Amino acid sequence: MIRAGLLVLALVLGACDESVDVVLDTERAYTVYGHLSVRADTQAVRVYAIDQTIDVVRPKLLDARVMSRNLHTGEVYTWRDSVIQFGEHDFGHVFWVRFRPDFEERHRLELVRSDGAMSAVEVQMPPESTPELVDPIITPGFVQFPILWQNAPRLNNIRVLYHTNRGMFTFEYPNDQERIEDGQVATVLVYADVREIFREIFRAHGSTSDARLRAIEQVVLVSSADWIPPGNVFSPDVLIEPGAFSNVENGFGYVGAGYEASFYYEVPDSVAIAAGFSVR
Amino acid sequence: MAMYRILFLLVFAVFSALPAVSQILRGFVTEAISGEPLEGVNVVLYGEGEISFGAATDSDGFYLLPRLTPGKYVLRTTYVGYVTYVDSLDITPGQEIRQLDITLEEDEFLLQQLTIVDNAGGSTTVMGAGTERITPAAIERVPMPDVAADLSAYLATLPGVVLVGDQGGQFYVRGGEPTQNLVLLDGMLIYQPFHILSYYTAFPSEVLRSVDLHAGGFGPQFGGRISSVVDAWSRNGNNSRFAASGSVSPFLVGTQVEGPIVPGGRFTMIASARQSVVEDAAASVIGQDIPLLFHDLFAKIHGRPNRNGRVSVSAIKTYDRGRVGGTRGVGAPDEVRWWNDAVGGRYLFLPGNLPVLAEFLISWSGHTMQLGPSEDLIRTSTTSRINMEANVTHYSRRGDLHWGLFARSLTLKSELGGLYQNLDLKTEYVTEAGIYAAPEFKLTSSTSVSPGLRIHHFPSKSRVILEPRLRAKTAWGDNEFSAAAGLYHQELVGINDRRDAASVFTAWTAVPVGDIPQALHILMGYRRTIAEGMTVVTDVYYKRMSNLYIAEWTARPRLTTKLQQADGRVLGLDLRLEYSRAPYYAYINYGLASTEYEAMQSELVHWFDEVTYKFRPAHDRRHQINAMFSTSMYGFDISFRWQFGSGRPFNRAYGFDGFLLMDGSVNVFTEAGERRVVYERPFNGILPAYHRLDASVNRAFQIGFSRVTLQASVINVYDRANVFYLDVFTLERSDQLPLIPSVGIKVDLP
Repeated sequence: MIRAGLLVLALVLGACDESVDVVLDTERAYTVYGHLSVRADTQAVRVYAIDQTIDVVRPKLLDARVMSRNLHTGEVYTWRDSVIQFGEHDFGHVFWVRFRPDFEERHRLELVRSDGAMSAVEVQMPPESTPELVDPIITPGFVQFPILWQNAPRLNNIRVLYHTNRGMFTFEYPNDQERIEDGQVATVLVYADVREIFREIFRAHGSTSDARLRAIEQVVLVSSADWIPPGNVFSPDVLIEPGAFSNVENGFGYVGAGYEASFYYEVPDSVAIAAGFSVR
Repeated sequence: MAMYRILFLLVFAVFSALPAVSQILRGFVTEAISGEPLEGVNVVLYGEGEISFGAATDSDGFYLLPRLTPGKYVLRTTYVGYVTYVDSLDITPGQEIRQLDITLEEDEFLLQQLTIVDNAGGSTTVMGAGTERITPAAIERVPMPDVAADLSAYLATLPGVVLVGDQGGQFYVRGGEPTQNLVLLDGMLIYQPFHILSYYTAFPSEVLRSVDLHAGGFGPQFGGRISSVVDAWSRNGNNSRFAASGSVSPFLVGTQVEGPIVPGGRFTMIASARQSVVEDAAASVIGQDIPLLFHDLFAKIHGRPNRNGRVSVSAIKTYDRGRVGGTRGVGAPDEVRWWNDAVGGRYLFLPGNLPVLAEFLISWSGHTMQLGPSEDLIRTSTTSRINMEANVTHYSRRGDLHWGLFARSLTLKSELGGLYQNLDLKTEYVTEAGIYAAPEFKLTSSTSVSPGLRIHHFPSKSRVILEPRLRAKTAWGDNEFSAAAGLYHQELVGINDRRDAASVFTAWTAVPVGDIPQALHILMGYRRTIAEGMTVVTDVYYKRMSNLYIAEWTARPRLTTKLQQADGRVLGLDLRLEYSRAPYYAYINYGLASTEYEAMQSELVHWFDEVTYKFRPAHDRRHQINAMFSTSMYGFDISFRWQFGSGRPFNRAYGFDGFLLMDGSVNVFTEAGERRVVYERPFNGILPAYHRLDASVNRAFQIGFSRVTLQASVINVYDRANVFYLDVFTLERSDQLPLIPSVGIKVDLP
């Protein structure tokens, strides 16, 4: 009976409460995006505070101190804020610092609010990778080049550029790659790309008979091993969910490490012919 | 049009093929002064010895006694509050059909007695599991911020019916969505049946004769919706004299006129017009902006062209405009506008040689809804429907056979401005045709079973749907039991973004992707009079829904989304305790319900490590209590209503940040990114409970020929800050209307 009375009392008291906590307290401090590169003299990350309103970011300083530490050498870098205007009412904070990390180093980035709340992320720089053509398949009408990126933990943003006498043709490749002991293998599917190249040339010039292939270039982002999105697809519809793809401690976002590298292959006549091009 | 010709040829072929039968007594029972049909009148023939035949009139006041034995009879026609009609009849062997139309006069003495023992007409009429007959008297009891009563206020008192707020005009019945409700007025489909101020339905209750609410398990005469049916029928105009009325309140100004068109009252008319004044009057009373505007026009002509037929033509036009919801982030507030237009005709026909009542309906319904900044309503959805149907009832002693045919043509046009990203709507044309049958078997005097089947064909989609239905009821002493079940489909769906409960904009389309939404209803009902004037009614229901269309979950703070399919289930219990003994009338309703959706968005597995995600949708109100008390003293009619609803689910957030797609070497100096809401898991928060007390006092005066009614009312007496909604993007809170005192006046010129 007493228990029932207490239950009723709790219901009544609960029903009297008119307030509602729309925005929950969170200890997460910042959302951070960016990547460190051994090929750049300036490193930069985009930083968002986790605000309590959706109002556009005003051009004011962000309450954040950003530092990074080279976990191998102990060197500490202080990052500077800059306010970038992206649109009429759209401002963003980019923190940057001048230094160039080296291969295989590990860096820890810390973002500290004035109340002590901190977000942090550790980034492992990938090793240096050299590309090498392995076991190409070259038969008339079917040409493909597997390219081994030695020591690469992960490849992202794979693109293939065809240099022809009719211009350059670029193909975005999915992040499909084969992991082997020595690194990652990303295959150039020449036979598939050529069909599209010929379609484009024919549309522009009315003929493909004098199209000549000079070189094939594969460009990749040699990345840290954890730069793999869920489902191996960089889908904005998936990744926009906070936490779906994040390596930031006590925060959201993703900070990776990687550098762009390319493999340039001058096409011999025999390969060009097998791919369907002219060599005259 | 070939479809319609085939349909009517089929109807007449069936009629002509049926054999004639002998000895039938039939006719219409109407009220003597107004000419209004009287429903539920007992028409009984007493023969020699124990022989007697009886029937009760239907909503058109029609009765039919089939297969009479030739002989001498005494006819007694009785109805509570009316003088009993008695006549002697001689049914002869050669006389096949005899039609006897009866008018009943009010018995002033009996009516006075009646008010002492019971408030006539005010009680609920439960017609079986999930089905309720709502009378104008029941509607009038519920306090309103207006001297004119409204069906909307009554519906809000029912357990299992959830109006998420006093703005937006969205009502949910037993877990279903607003677009899954079929709302008919005189057989015309009303796409948006509530005004933007949810206290008001799109049609005035003063013109209503009756409303049947089928909260589930409805029969095969209804289809195309998977949640509920509101079947409203308007009155005929007074056939003996002209009458007019007008009312003024801080919310609404309305007028109504009715009377005979031709001498003798064979043709009558009734018309009404209402215009909201809430934007100016009520807003100034409470000192708060109420940016809502609406109006409606209704007219009906009814006639008796001959003894065997009744004909009527109805038309309605409504308009709504207002700002419901927040600013949707950055930019101007969104405005929503909609309008309904409908016109329909009905012909009630008694074939000369058959124990049959046939009804032919033809109607056109149109609806347009627009959304966007007020100067640029970029999103538009327009729908129109032409409907033709025939409903036939064959009468026999052991039960009646209801069957019918229908054919429809729909045009759907939408310009959505990217609202639903995976839905490319354009102009669509859909045709429908079908047939249904529902024999009713009277097993005993108190037990009946009515199995039914509806066959729904979509020629333009090459699709045929079979929908079995079943209704049964029995009585065991004072205990009345009923049950219903059925399978329902909805080929034409209303797409709405329910991530935000206040979202009103609806785009109508044929099933966009995947399978047709489907629902299985199972209901059981119980009713018992436990003491004089005190009744208890309970309903238990289960709904299993599949292939629903809901908005995909996204952290993007903008009013665009993709659609996904979901399944759902609803479990519930409605309990009603009613007391009706003059001068008091009271009831308390309790509704316990659980609605659960199961979303199947492909991204779920990456977010929550689950292939599907079960959640309570924004309209899942677990507990609901409605208490009403009314009485009359010293000439004043006093009513109180208290509503309680436990908190509904909503989306909580940790805050707002931004999103950059890190798919490569992104240059953070030049990539703008986009704003993002950092939500908790979907619908994981619970809003505060809703409760409110409304009160009204009415007093009527006779001044010369006119009857003047004054009303004082207070809505939200203790000024409870009830949450209407939280903007899903800005997380701004918007409350329902605060304490509003109002005074209204109504003048009736009989």
